[in-house]
Amino acid sequence: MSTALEIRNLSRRYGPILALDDLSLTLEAGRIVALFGENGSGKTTLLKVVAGLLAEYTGEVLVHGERPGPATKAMVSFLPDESFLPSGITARGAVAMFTDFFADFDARRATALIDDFGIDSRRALKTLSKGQREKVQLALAMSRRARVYLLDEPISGVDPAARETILATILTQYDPEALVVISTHLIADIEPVADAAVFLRAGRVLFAGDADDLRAQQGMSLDRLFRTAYQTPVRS
Amino acid sequence: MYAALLKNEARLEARPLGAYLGIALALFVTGVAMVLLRVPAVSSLGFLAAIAASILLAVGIPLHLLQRYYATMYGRQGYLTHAVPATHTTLYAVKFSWALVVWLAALVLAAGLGLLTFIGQAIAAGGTAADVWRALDDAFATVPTATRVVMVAWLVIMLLANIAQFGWIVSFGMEERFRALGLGGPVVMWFVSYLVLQALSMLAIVLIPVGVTTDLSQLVFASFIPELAAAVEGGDPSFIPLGWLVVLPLVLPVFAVLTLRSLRDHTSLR
Repeated sequence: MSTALEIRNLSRRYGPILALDDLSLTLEAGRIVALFGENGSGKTTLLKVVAGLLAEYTGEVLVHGERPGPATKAMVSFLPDESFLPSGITARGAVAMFTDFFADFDARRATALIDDFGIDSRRALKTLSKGQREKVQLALAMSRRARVYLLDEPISGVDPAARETILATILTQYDPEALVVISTHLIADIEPVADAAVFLRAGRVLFAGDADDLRAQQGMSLDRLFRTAYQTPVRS
Repeated sequence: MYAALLKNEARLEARPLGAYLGIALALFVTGVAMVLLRVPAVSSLGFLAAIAASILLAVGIPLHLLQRYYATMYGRQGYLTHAVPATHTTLYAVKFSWALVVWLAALVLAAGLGLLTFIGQAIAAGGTAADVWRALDDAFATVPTATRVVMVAWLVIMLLANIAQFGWIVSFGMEERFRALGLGGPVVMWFVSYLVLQALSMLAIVLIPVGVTTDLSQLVFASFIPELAAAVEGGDPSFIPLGWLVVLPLVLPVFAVLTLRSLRDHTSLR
Protein backbone atom coordinates (compact mmCIF):
# COMPACT_ATOMS: atom_id res chain seq x y z
CA MET A 1 0.00 0.00 0.00
CA SER A 2 1.31 3.47 -0.86
CA THR A 3 1.43 6.48 1.39
CA ALA A 4 -1.44 8.80 0.54
CA LEU A 5 -0.85 11.45 3.14
CA GLU A 6 2.31 12.37 4.96
CA ILE A 7 2.36 15.12 7.55
CA ARG A 8 5.48 16.16 9.42
CA ASN A 9 5.68 18.65 12.28
CA LEU A 10 2.58 20.51 11.18
CA SER A 11 1.64 23.55 13.24
CA ARG A 12 -1.06 26.08 12.60
CA ARG A 13 -2.10 29.05 14.70
CA TYR A 14 -5.25 31.12 14.87
CA GLY A 15 -3.86 34.21 16.55
CA PRO A 16 -2.76 33.13 20.04
CA ILE A 17 -4.41 29.71 19.71
CA LEU A 18 -2.31 26.81 18.50
CA ALA A 19 -4.81 24.74 16.50
CA LEU A 20 -2.25 22.18 15.29
CA ASP A 21 0.80 21.60 17.42
CA ASP A 22 3.77 19.90 15.75
CA LEU A 23 1.52 17.17 14.40
CA SER A 24 3.02 14.27 12.45
CA LEU A 25 0.96 11.58 10.78
CA THR A 26 1.20 9.10 7.91
CA LEU A 27 -1.89 7.58 6.30
CA GLU A 28 -1.92 4.83 3.72
CA ALA A 29 -4.07 4.65 0.61
CA GLY A 30 -6.97 2.20 0.50
CA ARG A 31 -8.11 2.79 4.08
CA ILE A 32 -11.03 4.42 5.83
CA VAL A 33 -9.61 6.51 8.64
CA ALA A 34 -11.77 7.93 11.41
CA LEU A 35 -10.52 11.28 12.68
CA PHE A 36 -11.76 11.73 16.23
CA GLY A 37 -11.46 14.60 18.66
CA GLU A 38 -13.56 16.95 20.73
CA ASN A 39 -14.53 20.41 19.47
CA GLY A 40 -11.45 22.54 18.93
CA SER A 41 -9.08 19.57 18.77
CA GLY A 42 -7.88 20.57 15.28
CA LYS A 43 -9.81 18.12 13.07
CA THR A 44 -11.24 20.72 10.71
CA THR A 45 -8.01 22.72 10.61
CA LEU A 46 -6.08 19.58 9.67
CA LEU A 47 -8.50 18.75 6.85
CA LYS A 48 -8.44 22.34 5.56
CA VAL A 49 -4.64 22.35 5.43
CA VAL A 50 -4.57 19.05 3.53
CA ALA A 51 -7.31 20.28 1.18
CA GLY A 52 -5.24 23.39 0.41
CA LEU A 53 -7.63 25.90 1.97
CA LEU A 54 -5.26 27.20 4.63
CA ALA A 55 -1.96 28.54 3.37
CA GLU A 56 -0.26 29.69 6.53
CA TYR A 57 1.23 26.74 8.41
CA THR A 58 4.62 25.39 9.33
CA GLY A 59 5.81 21.85 8.74
CA GLU A 60 5.34 19.64 5.73
CA VAL A 61 2.19 18.22 4.18
CA LEU A 62 2.41 15.85 1.22
CA VAL A 63 -0.57 14.35 -0.59
CA HIS A 64 0.72 11.51 -2.75
CA GLY A 65 4.08 13.27 -2.64
CA GLU A 66 2.77 16.73 -3.60
CA ARG A 67 2.37 19.82 -1.46
CA PRO A 68 -1.20 21.18 -1.29
CA GLY A 69 -1.91 23.11 -4.48
CA PRO A 70 -3.68 22.72 -7.81
CA ALA A 71 -2.12 19.27 -8.39
CA THR A 72 -3.40 17.87 -5.07
CA LYS A 73 -6.77 19.58 -5.44
CA ALA A 74 -7.24 17.55 -8.62
CA MET A 75 -7.00 14.35 -6.56
CA VAL A 76 -8.55 15.41 -3.24
CA SER A 77 -12.30 15.49 -2.78
CA PHE A 78 -13.06 17.68 0.21
CA LEU A 79 -16.48 17.79 1.83
CA PRO A 80 -16.46 20.72 4.26
CA ASP A 81 -18.77 21.09 7.22
CA GLU A 82 -20.36 24.07 5.47
CA SER A 83 -22.96 24.70 2.75
CA PHE A 84 -20.41 25.58 0.09
CA LEU A 85 -22.78 25.66 -2.88
CA PRO A 86 -24.59 28.84 -3.96
CA SER A 87 -28.08 28.68 -2.44
CA GLY A 88 -29.83 29.71 -5.67
CA ILE A 89 -28.38 26.85 -7.70
CA THR A 90 -30.24 23.58 -8.35
CA ALA A 91 -28.73 20.15 -7.73
CA ARG A 92 -28.61 19.74 -11.51
CA GLY A 93 -26.73 23.03 -11.82
CA ALA A 94 -24.29 21.89 -9.13
CA VAL A 95 -23.63 18.69 -11.07
CA ALA A 96 -22.92 20.74 -14.20
CA MET A 97 -20.55 22.95 -12.20
CA PHE A 98 -18.61 19.98 -10.78
CA THR A 99 -18.39 18.51 -14.30
CA ASP A 100 -16.66 21.70 -15.42
CA PHE A 101 -14.33 21.90 -12.43
CA PHE A 102 -13.21 18.35 -11.75
CA ALA A 103 -11.87 16.02 -14.44
CA ASP A 104 -12.48 13.00 -12.18
CA PHE A 105 -16.15 13.83 -11.59
CA ASP A 106 -18.78 11.31 -12.68
CA ALA A 107 -21.92 13.32 -13.45
CA ARG A 108 -24.05 10.23 -14.12
CA ARG A 109 -23.17 8.77 -10.76
CA ALA A 110 -23.92 12.05 -8.96
CA THR A 111 -27.29 12.36 -10.69
CA ALA A 112 -28.16 8.76 -9.78
CA LEU A 113 -27.20 9.34 -6.14
CA ILE A 114 -29.26 12.52 -5.91
CA ASP A 115 -32.22 10.62 -7.42
CA ASP A 116 -31.67 7.77 -4.94
CA PHE A 117 -31.84 10.29 -2.11
CA GLY A 118 -35.28 11.26 -3.44
CA ILE A 119 -34.20 14.85 -4.11
CA ASP A 120 -35.75 16.76 -7.00
CA SER A 121 -32.66 17.96 -8.89
CA ARG A 122 -34.61 20.86 -10.44
CA ARG A 123 -35.27 22.52 -7.08
CA ALA A 124 -33.02 25.31 -5.85
CA LEU A 125 -30.86 24.21 -2.93
CA LYS A 126 -32.30 26.96 -0.74
CA THR A 127 -35.70 25.24 -0.94
CA LEU A 128 -34.26 21.93 0.35
CA SER A 129 -33.93 20.89 3.98
CA LYS A 130 -30.51 20.96 5.68
CA GLY A 131 -30.27 17.19 5.47
CA GLN A 132 -31.14 17.21 1.76
CA ARG A 133 -28.54 19.88 1.03
CA GLU A 134 -25.94 17.85 2.87
CA LYS A 135 -26.87 14.80 0.82
CA VAL A 136 -26.46 16.77 -2.41
CA GLN A 137 -23.01 17.91 -1.28
CA LEU A 138 -22.09 14.37 -0.29
CA ALA A 139 -23.28 13.03 -3.66
CA LEU A 140 -21.05 15.57 -5.40
CA ALA A 141 -18.02 14.83 -3.24
CA MET A 142 -18.38 11.05 -3.51
CA SER A 143 -18.93 11.14 -7.27
CA ARG A 144 -15.35 12.17 -7.86
CA ARG A 145 -12.87 9.40 -8.63
CA ALA A 146 -10.56 10.97 -6.09
CA ARG A 147 -7.45 9.46 -4.56
CA VAL A 148 -8.14 11.11 -1.22
CA TYR A 149 -11.54 11.92 0.29
CA LEU A 150 -11.64 14.34 3.21
CA LEU A 151 -15.07 14.34 4.81
CA ASP A 152 -15.55 16.86 7.60
CA GLU A 153 -18.39 15.89 9.92
CA PRO A 154 -20.50 14.33 7.16
CA ILE A 155 -22.97 12.76 9.60
CA SER A 156 -23.37 15.42 12.24
CA GLY A 157 -26.53 17.47 12.32
CA VAL A 158 -28.68 14.91 10.54
CA ASP A 159 -31.11 12.36 11.93
CA PRO A 160 -30.02 8.73 12.52
CA ALA A 161 -31.78 7.48 9.39
CA ALA A 162 -30.00 10.05 7.24
CA ARG A 163 -26.75 9.16 9.00
CA GLU A 164 -27.13 5.55 7.89
CA THR A 165 -27.85 6.62 4.31
CA ILE A 166 -24.84 8.93 4.25
CA LEU A 167 -22.52 6.29 5.67
CA ALA A 168 -23.82 3.70 3.23
CA THR A 169 -23.21 6.16 0.39
CA ILE A 170 -19.64 6.75 1.50
CA LEU A 171 -18.95 3.03 1.82
CA THR A 172 -20.46 2.09 -1.53
CA GLN A 173 -19.15 4.99 -3.57
CA TYR A 174 -15.53 5.51 -2.60
CA ASP A 175 -12.73 4.08 -4.67
CA PRO A 176 -11.21 1.17 -2.66
CA GLU A 177 -7.74 2.36 -3.68
CA ALA A 178 -8.38 5.78 -2.17
CA LEU A 179 -7.78 7.12 1.32
CA VAL A 180 -10.98 8.20 3.06
CA VAL A 181 -10.67 10.42 6.14
CA ILE A 182 -13.89 10.96 8.05
CA SER A 183 -13.83 13.54 10.80
CA THR A 184 -16.49 13.12 13.47
CA HIS A 185 -17.24 12.97 17.14
CA LEU A 186 -20.01 10.41 16.56
CA ILE A 187 -17.67 7.49 17.17
CA ALA A 188 -20.26 4.76 17.56
CA ASP A 189 -21.53 5.36 14.01
CA ILE A 190 -18.10 5.30 12.40
CA GLU A 191 -16.33 2.64 14.48
CA PRO A 192 -17.79 -0.37 12.62
CA VAL A 193 -16.50 0.87 9.25
CA ALA A 194 -13.16 2.43 10.17
CA ASP A 195 -9.93 0.59 9.26
CA ALA A 196 -7.86 3.00 11.29
CA ALA A 197 -8.37 5.84 13.72
CA VAL A 198 -6.62 9.04 14.68
CA PHE A 199 -7.51 10.73 17.97
CA LEU A 200 -6.61 14.41 18.14
CA ARG A 201 -6.38 16.50 21.25
CA ALA A 202 -5.28 20.16 21.44
CA GLY A 203 -3.78 19.91 17.97
CA ARG A 204 -1.70 16.81 18.72
CA VAL A 205 -2.13 13.14 17.97
CA LEU A 206 -3.30 11.37 21.09
CA PHE A 207 -3.61 7.90 19.56
CA ALA A 208 -3.27 6.73 15.98
CA GLY A 209 -3.22 3.34 14.36
CA ASP A 210 -5.11 0.42 12.98
CA ALA A 211 -8.58 0.24 14.57
CA ASP A 212 -8.17 -3.41 15.65
CA ASP A 213 -4.70 -2.73 17.08
CA LEU A 214 -5.98 0.26 19.07
CA ARG A 215 -8.84 -1.80 20.48
CA ALA A 216 -6.43 -4.62 21.43
CA GLN A 217 -3.80 -2.30 22.94
CA GLN A 218 -6.28 -0.28 24.99
CA GLY A 219 -8.57 -3.19 25.79
CA MET A 220 -11.70 -1.30 24.88
CA SER A 221 -13.78 -0.15 21.93
CA LEU A 222 -12.86 3.09 20.17
CA ASP A 223 -16.07 4.59 21.51
CA ARG A 224 -15.06 3.68 25.08
CA LEU A 225 -11.51 4.88 24.43
CA PHE A 226 -12.82 8.25 23.28
CA ARG A 227 -15.00 8.64 26.36
CA THR A 228 -12.09 7.72 28.64
CA ALA A 229 -9.43 9.78 26.90
CA TYR A 230 -11.49 12.95 26.61
CA GLN A 231 -12.97 12.86 30.10
CA THR A 232 -10.50 15.36 31.53
CA PRO A 233 -10.65 18.86 30.09
CA VAL A 234 -7.72 20.26 28.12
CA ARG A 235 -5.58 22.71 30.06
CA SER A 236 -5.16 25.92 28.07
CA MET B 1 -9.84 26.03 -16.11
CA TYR B 2 -10.08 29.79 -16.80
CA ALA B 3 -12.91 29.23 -19.30
CA ALA B 4 -14.74 26.81 -16.98
CA LEU B 5 -14.56 29.20 -14.04
CA LEU B 6 -15.64 32.16 -16.16
CA LYS B 7 -18.55 30.20 -17.62
CA ASN B 8 -19.77 29.33 -14.12
CA GLU B 9 -19.30 32.89 -12.93
CA ALA B 10 -21.59 34.00 -15.77
CA ARG B 11 -24.06 31.19 -15.09
CA LEU B 12 -24.34 31.97 -11.38
CA GLU B 13 -24.44 35.72 -11.88
CA ALA B 14 -27.02 35.84 -14.68
CA ARG B 15 -29.95 36.01 -12.28
CA PRO B 16 -28.73 38.64 -9.78
CA LEU B 17 -27.34 40.85 -12.53
CA GLY B 18 -30.57 40.39 -14.49
CA ALA B 19 -32.44 41.59 -11.39
CA TYR B 20 -30.31 44.74 -11.22
CA LEU B 21 -30.92 45.36 -14.92
CA GLY B 22 -34.66 44.76 -14.58
CA ILE B 23 -35.01 47.16 -11.66
CA ALA B 24 -32.90 49.80 -13.43
CA LEU B 25 -34.93 49.54 -16.64
CA ALA B 26 -38.21 49.65 -14.70
CA LEU B 27 -37.04 52.78 -12.88
CA PHE B 28 -35.87 54.35 -16.11
CA VAL B 29 -39.03 53.63 -18.11
CA THR B 30 -41.30 54.79 -15.26
CA GLY B 31 -39.16 57.86 -14.70
CA VAL B 32 -39.03 58.95 -18.35
CA ALA B 33 -42.76 58.33 -18.73
CA MET B 34 -43.35 60.62 -15.71
CA VAL B 35 -41.02 63.26 -17.23
CA LEU B 36 -42.96 63.16 -20.50
CA LEU B 37 -46.25 63.79 -18.64
CA ARG B 38 -45.06 67.41 -18.29
CA VAL B 39 -46.67 67.81 -14.86
CA PRO B 40 -44.09 69.85 -12.89
CA ALA B 41 -43.84 67.86 -9.62
CA VAL B 42 -44.39 64.49 -11.32
CA SER B 43 -41.82 65.28 -14.02
CA SER B 44 -39.22 66.23 -11.40
CA LEU B 45 -39.81 63.00 -9.50
CA GLY B 46 -39.65 61.07 -12.77
CA PHE B 47 -36.34 62.70 -13.64
CA LEU B 48 -34.92 61.65 -10.26
CA ALA B 49 -36.21 58.08 -10.76
CA ALA B 50 -34.63 57.85 -14.21
CA ILE B 51 -31.31 59.18 -12.90
CA ALA B 52 -31.54 56.68 -10.00
CA ALA B 53 -31.59 53.91 -12.63
CA SER B 54 -28.18 55.05 -13.89
CA ILE B 55 -26.83 55.36 -10.34
CA LEU B 56 -28.08 51.87 -9.51
CA LEU B 57 -26.13 50.46 -12.44
CA ALA B 58 -22.98 52.54 -11.98
CA VAL B 59 -22.73 52.12 -8.20
CA GLY B 60 -24.91 49.12 -7.29
CA ILE B 61 -23.25 46.72 -9.74
CA PRO B 62 -19.67 47.31 -8.50
CA LEU B 63 -20.85 46.93 -4.91
CA HIS B 64 -22.53 43.68 -5.89
CA LEU B 65 -19.29 42.52 -7.56
CA LEU B 66 -17.37 43.38 -4.40
CA GLN B 67 -19.80 41.38 -2.25
CA ARG B 68 -19.62 38.50 -4.71
CA TYR B 69 -15.80 38.49 -4.62
CA TYR B 70 -15.92 38.25 -0.83
CA ALA B 71 -18.61 35.54 -0.79
CA THR B 72 -16.98 33.31 -3.39
CA MET B 73 -13.41 33.71 -2.18
CA TYR B 74 -13.72 34.00 1.60
CA GLY B 75 -17.32 33.16 2.47
CA ARG B 76 -18.82 29.66 2.49
CA GLN B 77 -18.59 29.39 -1.30
CA GLY B 78 -14.86 29.91 -0.92
CA TYR B 79 -14.66 26.25 0.13
CA LEU B 80 -15.60 25.32 -3.42
CA THR B 81 -13.61 28.08 -5.15
CA HIS B 82 -10.38 27.13 -3.39
CA ALA B 83 -10.98 23.39 -3.80
CA VAL B 84 -10.99 23.75 -7.59
CA PRO B 85 -7.66 22.67 -9.11
CA ALA B 86 -6.76 26.13 -10.38
CA THR B 87 -3.80 28.35 -9.55
CA HIS B 88 -4.30 31.52 -7.55
CA THR B 89 -3.42 33.45 -10.71
CA THR B 90 -6.23 31.79 -12.65
CA LEU B 91 -8.74 32.46 -9.87
CA TYR B 92 -7.71 36.12 -9.80
CA ALA B 93 -7.74 36.45 -13.59
CA VAL B 94 -11.31 35.11 -13.70
CA LYS B 95 -12.54 37.45 -11.00
CA PHE B 96 -10.74 40.42 -12.54
CA SER B 97 -11.92 39.89 -16.11
CA TRP B 98 -15.48 39.17 -15.02
CA ALA B 99 -15.58 42.35 -12.94
CA LEU B 100 -14.13 44.35 -15.83
CA VAL B 101 -16.70 43.13 -18.35
CA VAL B 102 -19.69 43.55 -16.03
CA TRP B 103 -18.67 46.91 -14.58
CA LEU B 104 -17.82 48.33 -18.02
CA ALA B 105 -21.15 47.15 -19.42
CA ALA B 106 -22.93 48.66 -16.40
CA LEU B 107 -21.17 52.01 -16.91
CA VAL B 108 -21.95 52.11 -20.64
CA LEU B 109 -25.56 51.26 -19.92
CA ALA B 110 -25.74 53.83 -17.11
CA ALA B 111 -24.34 56.51 -19.42
CA GLY B 112 -26.79 55.50 -22.15
CA LEU B 113 -29.78 55.66 -19.82
CA GLY B 114 -28.54 58.97 -18.42
CA LEU B 115 -28.32 60.41 -21.92
CA LEU B 116 -31.79 59.15 -22.80
CA THR B 117 -33.11 60.70 -19.57
CA PHE B 118 -31.77 64.11 -20.59
CA ILE B 119 -33.19 63.66 -24.09
CA GLY B 120 -36.57 62.83 -22.52
CA GLN B 121 -36.37 65.93 -20.39
CA ALA B 122 -35.44 68.07 -23.42
CA ILE B 123 -38.45 66.71 -25.35
CA ALA B 124 -40.73 67.34 -22.37
CA ALA B 125 -39.46 70.94 -22.32
CA GLY B 126 -40.41 71.36 -26.00
CA GLY B 127 -36.95 70.73 -27.43
CA THR B 128 -35.48 67.84 -29.38
CA ALA B 129 -32.78 65.19 -28.97
CA ALA B 130 -30.53 67.37 -31.10
CA ASP B 131 -30.49 69.98 -28.33
CA VAL B 132 -28.85 67.49 -25.98
CA TRP B 133 -26.26 66.50 -28.59
CA ARG B 134 -25.54 70.17 -29.26
CA ALA B 135 -25.04 70.85 -25.55
CA LEU B 136 -22.60 67.94 -25.37
CA ASP B 137 -20.78 69.17 -28.46
CA ASP B 138 -20.49 72.65 -26.99
CA ALA B 139 -19.09 71.29 -23.72
CA PHE B 140 -16.28 69.50 -25.52
CA ALA B 141 -15.79 71.92 -28.45
CA THR B 142 -12.59 73.44 -27.12
CA VAL B 143 -11.13 70.13 -25.92
CA PRO B 144 -8.45 68.88 -28.33
CA THR B 145 -8.64 65.32 -29.63
CA ALA B 146 -5.49 64.34 -27.69
CA THR B 147 -7.10 65.46 -24.44
CA ARG B 148 -10.24 63.49 -25.27
CA VAL B 149 -8.12 60.38 -25.86
CA VAL B 150 -6.34 60.94 -22.55
CA MET B 151 -9.70 61.33 -20.77
CA VAL B 152 -11.04 58.06 -22.19
CA ALA B 153 -7.78 56.21 -21.47
CA TRP B 154 -7.79 57.51 -17.93
CA LEU B 155 -11.39 56.35 -17.41
CA VAL B 156 -10.35 52.83 -18.47
CA ILE B 157 -7.32 52.92 -16.18
CA MET B 158 -9.48 54.18 -13.33
CA LEU B 159 -11.83 51.25 -13.86
CA LEU B 160 -8.96 48.74 -13.89
CA ALA B 161 -7.37 50.34 -10.82
CA ASN B 162 -10.65 50.30 -8.92
CA ILE B 163 -11.11 46.61 -9.64
CA ALA B 164 -7.54 45.92 -8.50
CA GLN B 165 -8.08 48.03 -5.37
CA PHE B 166 -11.35 46.27 -4.51
CA GLY B 167 -9.67 42.87 -4.91
CA TRP B 168 -6.83 43.93 -2.66
CA ILE B 169 -8.96 45.37 0.15
CA VAL B 170 -10.91 42.10 0.41
CA SER B 171 -8.00 39.66 -0.04
CA PHE B 172 -5.59 41.55 2.19
CA GLY B 173 -8.29 42.38 4.75
CA MET B 174 -9.25 38.70 5.01
CA GLU B 175 -5.73 37.49 5.77
CA GLU B 176 -5.17 35.56 8.96
CA ARG B 177 -3.44 38.49 10.67
CA PHE B 178 -6.69 40.50 10.50
CA ARG B 179 -8.87 37.59 11.55
CA ALA B 180 -9.98 39.31 14.75
CA LEU B 181 -11.45 42.19 12.71
CA GLY B 182 -13.81 39.93 10.75
CA LEU B 183 -15.45 41.90 7.95
CA GLY B 184 -13.84 44.98 9.48
CA GLY B 185 -10.56 43.85 7.86
CA PRO B 186 -11.60 44.84 4.32
CA VAL B 187 -13.24 48.03 5.64
CA VAL B 188 -9.99 49.07 7.35
CA MET B 189 -8.05 48.24 4.16
CA TRP B 190 -10.41 50.42 2.15
CA PHE B 191 -9.65 53.38 4.42
CA VAL B 192 -5.93 52.63 4.27
CA SER B 193 -5.90 52.42 0.48
CA TYR B 194 -8.03 55.57 0.21
CA LEU B 195 -5.66 57.56 2.42
CA VAL B 196 -2.59 56.23 0.59
CA LEU B 197 -4.08 57.11 -2.80
CA GLN B 198 -4.97 60.61 -1.59
CA ALA B 199 -1.46 61.15 -0.23
CA LEU B 200 0.17 59.85 -3.43
CA SER B 201 -2.08 62.04 -5.58
CA MET B 202 -1.18 65.13 -3.55
CA LEU B 203 2.49 64.26 -3.77
CA ALA B 204 2.25 63.78 -7.55
CA ILE B 205 0.47 67.13 -7.95
CA VAL B 206 3.27 68.87 -6.08
CA LEU B 207 6.17 67.00 -7.66
CA ILE B 208 5.10 66.60 -11.31
CA PRO B 209 4.95 69.98 -13.11
CA VAL B 210 2.22 69.16 -15.63
CA GLY B 211 -1.26 70.63 -15.92
CA VAL B 212 -3.92 71.78 -18.33
CA THR B 213 -5.65 75.12 -18.81
CA THR B 214 -9.07 75.41 -17.19
CA ASP B 215 -10.80 75.13 -20.60
CA LEU B 216 -8.83 71.89 -21.20
CA SER B 217 -7.41 73.32 -24.44
CA GLN B 218 -3.66 73.46 -23.67
CA LEU B 219 -1.07 71.62 -21.63
CA VAL B 220 0.89 73.62 -19.07
CA PHE B 221 4.37 72.61 -17.92
CA ALA B 222 4.79 74.43 -14.65
CA SER B 223 4.94 73.65 -10.96
CA PHE B 224 1.63 73.75 -9.16
CA ILE B 225 3.20 74.85 -5.87
CA PRO B 226 2.85 78.61 -6.56
CA GLU B 227 -0.76 77.98 -7.61
CA LEU B 228 -1.39 76.18 -4.32
CA ALA B 229 0.15 79.08 -2.41
CA ALA B 230 -2.08 81.49 -4.32
CA ALA B 231 -5.10 79.32 -3.62
CA VAL B 232 -4.33 79.38 0.12
CA GLU B 233 -4.46 83.20 -0.06
CA GLY B 234 -7.84 83.09 -1.77
CA GLY B 235 -6.76 83.24 -5.41
CA ASP B 236 -7.94 80.93 -8.20
CA PRO B 237 -5.41 78.54 -9.76
CA SER B 238 -4.68 79.40 -13.40
CA PHE B 239 -4.47 75.76 -14.48
CA ILE B 240 -5.56 72.29 -13.40
CA PRO B 241 -2.72 70.03 -12.19
CA LEU B 242 -2.42 66.66 -13.92
CA GLY B 243 0.39 65.03 -11.95
CA TRP B 244 -2.14 62.90 -10.04
CA LEU B 245 -2.98 61.09 -13.29
CA VAL B 246 0.13 58.93 -12.89
CA VAL B 247 -0.96 57.50 -9.54
CA LEU B 248 -3.58 55.00 -10.70
CA PRO B 249 -1.50 53.44 -13.52
CA LEU B 250 1.32 53.02 -11.00
CA VAL B 251 -0.72 51.52 -8.17
CA LEU B 252 -2.74 49.21 -10.41
CA PRO B 253 -0.01 46.57 -10.80
CA VAL B 254 0.95 47.00 -7.14
CA PHE B 255 -2.60 46.15 -6.03
CA ALA B 256 -2.68 43.18 -8.43
CA VAL B 257 0.66 41.76 -7.25
CA LEU B 258 -0.23 42.19 -3.57
CA THR B 259 -3.60 40.50 -4.11
CA LEU B 260 -1.93 37.57 -5.88
CA ARG B 261 0.49 37.25 -2.98
CA SER B 262 -2.40 37.27 -0.51
CA LEU B 263 -4.16 34.53 -2.46
CA ARG B 264 -1.05 32.38 -2.78
CA ASP B 265 0.49 32.76 0.67
CA HIS B 266 -2.22 33.92 3.02
CA THR B 267 -5.53 32.35 2.03
CA SER B 268 -7.23 31.40 5.26
CA LEU B 269 -10.83 30.30 5.07
CA ARG B 270 -12.63 30.74 8.37
